[in-house]
Amino acid sequence: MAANFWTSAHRKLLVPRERLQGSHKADLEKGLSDNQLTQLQAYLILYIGDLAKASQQLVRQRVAATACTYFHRFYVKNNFCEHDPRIIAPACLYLASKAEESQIQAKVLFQMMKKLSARYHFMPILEMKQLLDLEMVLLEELDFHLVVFSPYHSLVKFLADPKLAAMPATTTKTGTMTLAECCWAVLNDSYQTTICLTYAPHIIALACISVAAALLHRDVTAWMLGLQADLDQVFEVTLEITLFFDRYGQPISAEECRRPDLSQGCDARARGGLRMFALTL
Amino acid sequence: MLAVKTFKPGKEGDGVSPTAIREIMLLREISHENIVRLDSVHLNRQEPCLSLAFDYAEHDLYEMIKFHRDKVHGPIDLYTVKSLMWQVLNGLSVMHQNWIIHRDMKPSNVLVMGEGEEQGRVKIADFGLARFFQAPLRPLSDNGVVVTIWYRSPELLLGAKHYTVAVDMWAAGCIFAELLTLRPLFQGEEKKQPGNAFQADQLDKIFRILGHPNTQAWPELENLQHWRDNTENVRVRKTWHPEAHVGQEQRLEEYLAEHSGLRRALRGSPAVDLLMRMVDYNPLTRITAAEALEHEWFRQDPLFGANSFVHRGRAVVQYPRRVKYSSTAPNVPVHPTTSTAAEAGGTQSAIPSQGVITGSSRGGETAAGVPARVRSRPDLEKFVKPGKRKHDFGPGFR
Repeated sequence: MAANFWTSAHRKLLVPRERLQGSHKADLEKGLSDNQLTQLQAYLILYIGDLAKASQQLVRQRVAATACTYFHRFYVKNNFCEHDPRIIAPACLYLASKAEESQIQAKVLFQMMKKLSARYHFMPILEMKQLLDLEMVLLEELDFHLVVFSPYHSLVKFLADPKLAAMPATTTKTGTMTLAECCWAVLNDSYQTTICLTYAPHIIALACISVAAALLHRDVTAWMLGLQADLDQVFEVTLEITLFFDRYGQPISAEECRRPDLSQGCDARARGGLRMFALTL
Repeated sequence: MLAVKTFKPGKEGDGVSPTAIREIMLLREISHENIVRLDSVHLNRQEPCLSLAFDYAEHDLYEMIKFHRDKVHGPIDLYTVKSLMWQVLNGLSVMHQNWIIHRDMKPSNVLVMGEGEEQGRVKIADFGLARFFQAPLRPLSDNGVVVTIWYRSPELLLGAKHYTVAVDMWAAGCIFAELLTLRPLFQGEEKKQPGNAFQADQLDKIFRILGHPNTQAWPELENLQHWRDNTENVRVRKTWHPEAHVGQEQRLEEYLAEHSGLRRALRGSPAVDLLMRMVDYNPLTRITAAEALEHEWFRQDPLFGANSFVHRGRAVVQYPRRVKYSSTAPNVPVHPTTSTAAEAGGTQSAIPSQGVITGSSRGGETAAGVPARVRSRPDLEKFVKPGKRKHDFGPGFR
C-alpha cells in the first residue's frame, strides 16, 4: 500500500526489461530505429523537465519525475505514431501536478508551452479541449494508478549517511561539485531512459550514487557492499545509465535530423540533457 | 450492487476535478476491509465526465443515528457502538499508517454494509479531501478549509497552518459521542463567508463542554493565528459551563449522563476516558488511532465484533434500507454480473452545507457544494448506455 513500496501498485506495475522490448511495434514497422526511438524519448523527457523549470518553482522536480514515469508507462503499450508524444508529454505533467497536490492551472501550462515552443522546434501547442481529453486518455491508459514512488526520497535518505555526506566535493573544469549535487543531476537525467519502469526506486537511487561517484572519482564500493540491497540490480542500472550517457552524449548528425518524417520531433538537442555528463568529463 | 458518484468538470475548465483525482489515486492504492472499495472508474470523453463505482453500502452512521433519534427513540446498542467505533478506528489506523489523512470524517462518510457477507461492517468513504502527507510538496493548508464544521478540530478552528492526522481523531471523537447521545457533540453555527472565516460559535460550543484551552496542557496554542491575535476575543471568551472548575472528564461524563440513553452503562466506564482522549485539545497528546484500538474499553464486555448489527447471533437492530432506490429501482446493468444502485444523494442535506474546500478548487461539484452524485435514474441510464467506456478492476483488484 501507500507506505510500503513492496505492497504498492507501483511494485506490481514494474515491467521486466524483456517485456519492454515488445513495445513500440507500430513505430518500428513504420521505419523508426531503436536508436531513434530512444532519442525521441529522451528529447520529450527533456521537454517535460524544461516545462517544469519554465514554471519558476511552480512545478517541483518530483512532479516532473512523476510526469516522466507516466510518460514512460503510457508508451509501454502505445506508439509514437498513434499518440503524438509532443502533446502527451505536457498532459503527463498536467496530471502529475494534480496527483502530487501541486496543481498547475491549464492556462499556466499553456504559457509555459508557448515560452518553450521556439526552443523546441515549434512544438505544437495543444488546445484546452485536447489537454482535458488527453488527461482522461492518460488516466485510462495508466489504469488509474497514479501513486509513484520516487527515487528522490530514497536518494535523500542514502545521502544523509555520514559516510557519503563526508565525501569532499570534486573540482572539475567548470567548478566544484558535491556528490549530492551530482547524484541529483544523474537522477534527473536518468529519466531519459526507461529504468523507472523496471527497477525499484531505491535501486535507481543507489545506481545514481554509483554513477555520480564514478564521475567524481570517489569510491563508494565499500559503502555499498555494506548495504543489503540487490547489488546485481544496482549494477545493471548503473551500466544502463552509463551506456546511455556514453551513447547519447554526442550530438546527432544533421542528416539524421533531416529525415522528413522526424524533422519535427527529433533534434540535436537530445544531447542537451547530457550537458551534465559532458561537463564533468 | 454498486454506488455511483459522478464528477463533472468545473466551469473554470481545469479538467478532472482534484477531488476525483484524489479519490481515484488513494482508493486505487489502498485496500482494507474498513475502507470503501472502488470497483471501477467510468469515463465519458464526450461530455466529459467521470464516474466512480463503489461497493454499495446500505447504511451510514448519519442515517442510523437519525433513525434512532426519530424512529426508535432509544439509544444505539452498546455492542453496536463499540463495534462501529473499533472499525472506524481500525480504518483510520490503516490510513494513517499509510500516510493518508482523510480530512472529512463525519457520520455520513462512515458507511455500514447492509445484508450480505459483509453485513454490519464499517466502510470509511469519501476520499475527496484525503491526501498523502508524506513529504508534501505544498503545505496541507494550501487545500483551504477542511473538515465539516461540527467535526473540525480546535487547531483548525484556531487557524493552524500545519496540522496532522490528529484532526481525523478529533472528528472520530465527535462521531463517537454522537453515536452515544444521538446528537452532534459540538453543534456550532457556521459563519458563511468566503475564505477561511473565524468560526467563533463552533469554538464556543467546544469551550462550553470542554472548558477553555490553556497553554499548560497545550503549549503550541500560542503559535496559532487566532489565539495569538486574540481574534474576536477568543482568549477570554466566557465559558458558560456552570461548573467550570470541575475536571474535563467529569464534565464529559455529566454531558453523557445528561444526553445519552446509555448513561447507566457509561457510568464509570473507560468509554468516557477514550472519548476524552480523542477530543484532547492538544493534537500532540491526542490519542492516535493505533493507541485507541488498544484502549481498555475495547477489551471490556461486550466485546466488539465484525458484524455490528448482530450480537451473539441476535440481530440487535434492523435499519431501514435507503429509501430512494432500494426497492423500486429496476436493475441497470453496468457490467454483466452486477446491478447498480445510486448512492442516495439527499442524505447530506441536513448537515450544514459541507464546510469543506471552498472556492474554485473543488471543480466537480454541483451548486449545492455536495460532490455531484448520480441523483436520478435518467442520469444513470444515460451514463451506462452501451458504447461508453468503462473500466472494471475486476475481482483481481483488492
